Amino acid sequence: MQATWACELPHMDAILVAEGDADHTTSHGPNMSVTADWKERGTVNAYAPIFVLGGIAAGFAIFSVFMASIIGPKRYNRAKLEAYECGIEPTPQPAGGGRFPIKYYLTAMLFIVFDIEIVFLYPWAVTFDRLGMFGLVEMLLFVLTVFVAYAYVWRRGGLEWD
Amino acid sequence: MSASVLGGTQLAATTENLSFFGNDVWWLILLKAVFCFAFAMLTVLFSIVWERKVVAWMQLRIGPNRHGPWGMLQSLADGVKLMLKEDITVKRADKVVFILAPIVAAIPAFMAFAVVPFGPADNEVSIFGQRTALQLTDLPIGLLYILATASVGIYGIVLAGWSSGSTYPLLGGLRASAQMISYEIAMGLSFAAVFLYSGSMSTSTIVGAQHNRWYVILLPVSFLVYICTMIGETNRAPFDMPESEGDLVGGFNTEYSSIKFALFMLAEYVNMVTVSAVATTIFLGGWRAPWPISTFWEGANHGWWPMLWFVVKVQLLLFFFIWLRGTLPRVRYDQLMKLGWKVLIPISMVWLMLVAAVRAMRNEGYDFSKIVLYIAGAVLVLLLISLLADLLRDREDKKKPGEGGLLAPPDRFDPMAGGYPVPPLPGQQVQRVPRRPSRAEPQLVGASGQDAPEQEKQEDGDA
Repeated sequence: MQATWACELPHMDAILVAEGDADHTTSHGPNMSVTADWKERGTVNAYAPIFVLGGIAAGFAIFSVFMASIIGPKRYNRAKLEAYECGIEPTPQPAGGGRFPIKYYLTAMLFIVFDIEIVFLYPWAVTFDRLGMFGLVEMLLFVLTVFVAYAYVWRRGGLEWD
Repeated sequence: MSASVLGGTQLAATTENLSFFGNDVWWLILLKAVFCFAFAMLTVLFSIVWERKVVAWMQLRIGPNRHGPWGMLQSLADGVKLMLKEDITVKRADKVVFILAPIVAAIPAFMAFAVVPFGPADNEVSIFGQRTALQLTDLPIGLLYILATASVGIYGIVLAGWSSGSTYPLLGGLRASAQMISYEIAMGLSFAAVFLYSGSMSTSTIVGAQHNRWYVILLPVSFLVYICTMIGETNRAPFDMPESEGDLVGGFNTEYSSIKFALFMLAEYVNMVTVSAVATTIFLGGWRAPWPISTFWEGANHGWWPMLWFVVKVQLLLFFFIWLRGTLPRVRYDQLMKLGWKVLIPISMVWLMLVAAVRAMRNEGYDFSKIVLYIAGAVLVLLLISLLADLLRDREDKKKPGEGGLLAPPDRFDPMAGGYPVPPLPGQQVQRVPRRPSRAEPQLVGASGQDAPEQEKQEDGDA
């Protein structure tokens, strides 16, 4: 008894919702059959192995950090605990981290704009064959608007580093 | 999937079928998870030695040869040594974040391996009597998950830089984060072209869809963009500004010692293996046997053999990383950002739209030669427009030479920078360095300022 994860949109939606509900004992509406299928198979969700792997990695990382703090030597002195700046006196830093160039902030803001564009691109790309010419034209219009913004940022020097 | 949909997609011959995943018994999941972890770990241990060996050969040295046969246990010895070293938390550090950062960097590096396919997804092999797929699990959003884990890894680096309470780590952490998010955009765009062809984000389906042609042949530009971005994402040479030992000592990990430092190195190398595995999966046919072998040997893509092809491909990509490090000098940070924002993003965007247009027309049933004609026409028009714009801009430049407000370049370039910080020796003259003539800044002249004006147009005098 295996559910095939076919590519049809309504079916896909049902499965995606059902995954969220998989840990609940009762589920109502059209998703019930799929949820029942998960239960019937008596197996774990496809997401569970990820947490197993994450658990192994976390266990390794935390264990090794913990062990190193126990078995390593501890001979501290004042100079050793200072920040390293090639031997000179460390630069005094104001509380809260101090200031750094505005360029990094600008890069982060631009990244968010383009990252959201990509978020829109992914579902479009996956369902592209079903959308047909309509999908192509729609996305061309969308990308064009983003490209206008991109050209504007470029022209205003937002992409220059120095 | 209905027949009408299948009619238009000759290339995406495999439909998304993830029913093989998520129904293993618990001990098999545990076994596979341990295998994924061990695979990443052993590949890292090997590739560190391999890197040192290969770079040594490229520089006519011998490289590590003391620990184990052929120096193969060198990285294990390094790990044990680092474990036994003093674990320092500097006074100014934010203690909790400082300890947490290497852990945050290391965990997601390993987690990406959960959806990497080592073999076919149709229960081909048998492990202790259980038929299963050579893949820990697969999701309908497999590659999105990989992108997500890669992004979480950035947190480790930023937090390490910020929490150290020191100048170099802060700068290194900022550089790393800015670089990684810049290259992530182009990386995401190159993924989108793959999704267009595969019609799915699950890794096993993407490999399945490459049974005729690998996507590296169908999408060569996406592959090249991905190769660039994967080096940028992993902070490797020539894009290793975040840890450039020349100006930032060690970058974000300057203040780290003992096993915490080792965890950062581990995370970097695991990330290298991960991006290589992703490149193999989405562009190089994943576990599929390479071309000449697959033609005469039917069994090459069945049983345990796929794992061999997968490992070979990943190792070749890792060698490519090492090769780059041994060959290329480090780029400047502004060059790096320029490449990311001004070259890779527009190229991959235009390429994606081109691929989409070709595919849409093919789905509509246009003749292929007609499609080529249309696309070539569009490209030609674009080229003509850019040529025209270039010509017009040239003419404008000639109209008003030397004119410009605050942003215009200075009339004369003084290589001694007015005697600061190093004053010139008595009578010192700076020699000209022959350079390609720059169109943008024809006004720059040498230090002495006594050159003839004809020469000024031909070379920049920044000695």
